[in-house]
Amino acid sequence: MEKVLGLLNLHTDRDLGVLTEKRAIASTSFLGRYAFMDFPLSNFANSDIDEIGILVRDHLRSLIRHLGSGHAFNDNTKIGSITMLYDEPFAHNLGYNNDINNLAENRWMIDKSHAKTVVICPSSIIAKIDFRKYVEEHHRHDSKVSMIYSPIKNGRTHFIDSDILEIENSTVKSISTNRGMEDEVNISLNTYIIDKEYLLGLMKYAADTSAFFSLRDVFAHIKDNVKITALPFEGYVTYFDSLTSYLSQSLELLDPKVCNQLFTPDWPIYTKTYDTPPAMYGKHANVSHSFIANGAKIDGTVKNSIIGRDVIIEKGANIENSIIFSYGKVGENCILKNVIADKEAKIIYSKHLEGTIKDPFFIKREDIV
Amino acid sequence: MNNNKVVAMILAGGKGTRLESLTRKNAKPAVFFGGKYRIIDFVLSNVANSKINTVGILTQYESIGLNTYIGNGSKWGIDGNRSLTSILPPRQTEADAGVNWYRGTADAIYQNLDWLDALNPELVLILSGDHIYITNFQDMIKTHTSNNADVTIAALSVSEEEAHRFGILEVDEENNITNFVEKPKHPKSNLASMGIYLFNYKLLRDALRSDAKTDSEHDFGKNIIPYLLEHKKKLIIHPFQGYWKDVGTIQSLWEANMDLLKGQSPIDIFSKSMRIFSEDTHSTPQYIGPNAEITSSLINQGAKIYGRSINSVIFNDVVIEEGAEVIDSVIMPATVIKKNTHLSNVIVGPSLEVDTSFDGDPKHVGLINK
Repeated sequence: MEKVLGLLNLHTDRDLGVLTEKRAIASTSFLGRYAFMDFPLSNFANSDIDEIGILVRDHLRSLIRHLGSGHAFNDNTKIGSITMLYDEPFAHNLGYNNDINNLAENRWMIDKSHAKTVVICPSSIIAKIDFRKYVEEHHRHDSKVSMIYSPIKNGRTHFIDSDILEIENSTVKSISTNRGMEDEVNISLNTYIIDKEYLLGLMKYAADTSAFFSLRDVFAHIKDNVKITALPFEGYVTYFDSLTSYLSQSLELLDPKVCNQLFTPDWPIYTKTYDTPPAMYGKHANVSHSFIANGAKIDGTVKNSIIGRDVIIEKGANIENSIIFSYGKVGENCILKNVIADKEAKIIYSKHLEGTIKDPFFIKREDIV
Repeated sequence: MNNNKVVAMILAGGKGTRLESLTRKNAKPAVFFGGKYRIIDFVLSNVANSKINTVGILTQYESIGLNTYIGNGSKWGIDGNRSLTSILPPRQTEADAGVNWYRGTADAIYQNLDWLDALNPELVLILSGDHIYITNFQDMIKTHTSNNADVTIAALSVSEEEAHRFGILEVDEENNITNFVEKPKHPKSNLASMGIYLFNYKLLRDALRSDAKTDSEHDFGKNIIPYLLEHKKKLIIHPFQGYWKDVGTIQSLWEANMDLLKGQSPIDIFSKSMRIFSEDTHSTPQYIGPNAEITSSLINQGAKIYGRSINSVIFNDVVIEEGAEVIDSVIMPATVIKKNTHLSNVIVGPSLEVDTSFDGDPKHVGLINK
């Protein structure tokens, strides 16, 4: 395959409420074992893309911590590279801190790259995408810029505030916001295939038009004069934009029918690993329909939940529809329902905590309750 | 002690015939253990946790899988600055066009004296690649240096009934070794050698060179230690306390796995200060199905449990299907236990599909393997 530059664009990610106050979605724990960014980065790796830039909006520390050397995502650790791209001078200015300005600040990476085609994708949309197929399609359409979209049937409840594409003859006619008015809509996956020279042109266009323009703003601005090819993605896709979606859409993946669309033997998901021991189930353990990460010690009841690395669940504890982050603890006889307990939270004294699926009960990082 | 002045040599070339088909195409140190590990992870983690940064691993029997697993030592972190992990297999030499197979434990080290000379260590720690235990070798190094010993041998107190299976050490009141007998019929002491030897390097080199000229078995226990005792060298013991198991048979391998499941396990793989390092596979999260039942079990990532796992050790990517039942057993990686299959007291090898029920006896556990 031709050489392709992969850009993980964290500027278009929404936040997950309290969960992302001190971290980006990209480095937020997902399914007990992963961070969100593992999925797009694995898509790059499995698509033979080994030159990767991460367009960082904020929370650099948390991202660096998860990424480490980045070797988990490169085939050859000397040839492959993952580079953090950060617009440091304007990181705290909401107007300027967008993907175009970040690219302009770090233009050296684009200039230095031998790739002629660039793939840009976010970390908050989780799907198994083989970019090789889309780069081929992009060329087959003789396109300068292509957008990947998902035709969905639940637009009234899902992907609210995401971009809807109106498409004619595989060409984007308009870009609007999903207000939940229709069931069947074409949702933009904020994932683009762009010729590198054309991307440089778009950056100049943005600079000449509005200093606050993001990549998405540029597309909306030029769509009438430029052909933007729309390429459909038919597989399973899930999108995270709030604490509610974090709980409900994570738990949705407990259904093997759903999960097996994301995890297939030909498409491994790589992650930073911690080399923890296997999970230990005690005499009183009663676990069903759950993901359990390594290092966990479970002696209580766990149902329809996700238990992170090194979590301790004591005898008599009862956990349902909940997500317990790494290094957490649920003490004896504590009952949790629809709870999200952030990293290292310890539930010991509050014996009954209950939220709803729409409004999960949240416990802050490192808190003891 | 300067860390680079101690070099660890791990003997990992033995055949391990009593592990039956588990070592048919696999060296014993590479046999799976404890849901995630291989046997050699324990000694290599001990080396790493003891801050010994230079390690040679002597491999011979079916070494391809083991050599690949060891790689550059990165799984145990022994790949950093001032660290070295070297695999030392038998080699062809200028003097001999054939392969110079290691003829015994002492010969294996002897054939690599050039490698050791280049490192010029003060002390050489001789270890075995097939024991399950957790220890910090710095304690042993301290015993050795503070007593100005020539050789220190780690010793474990064993019961009178077991003593005849080990090399037995007799000591005086100051822990100086006065006699050493391999597998004695009538043991005079209950101090067993664990096959862990700490040598002053120059003395080791002289002893190995001298041994190489003889037609002995070239074995540390049978030849080198008696030779040094004979020459009045200062050999002392380092008393070892804690869990130590030679998992040489299917029964002992099973027992050591079951030991991990005890409420107060004698060996703590969850310790934060003495971690057991290993390989992390890119498996999916561990999934427990709606009707699963799991108690007293160790289960690794990538496993999918729809049936029952009672008091068992389940490796990565194992599937236990609906209605299947695994009791007091060990299931190695990527094996599928098919619907309604019942297993008890058995070790099941890797990458199998098992659809025939099997009930073993805890005194004579079974083995299902290719």
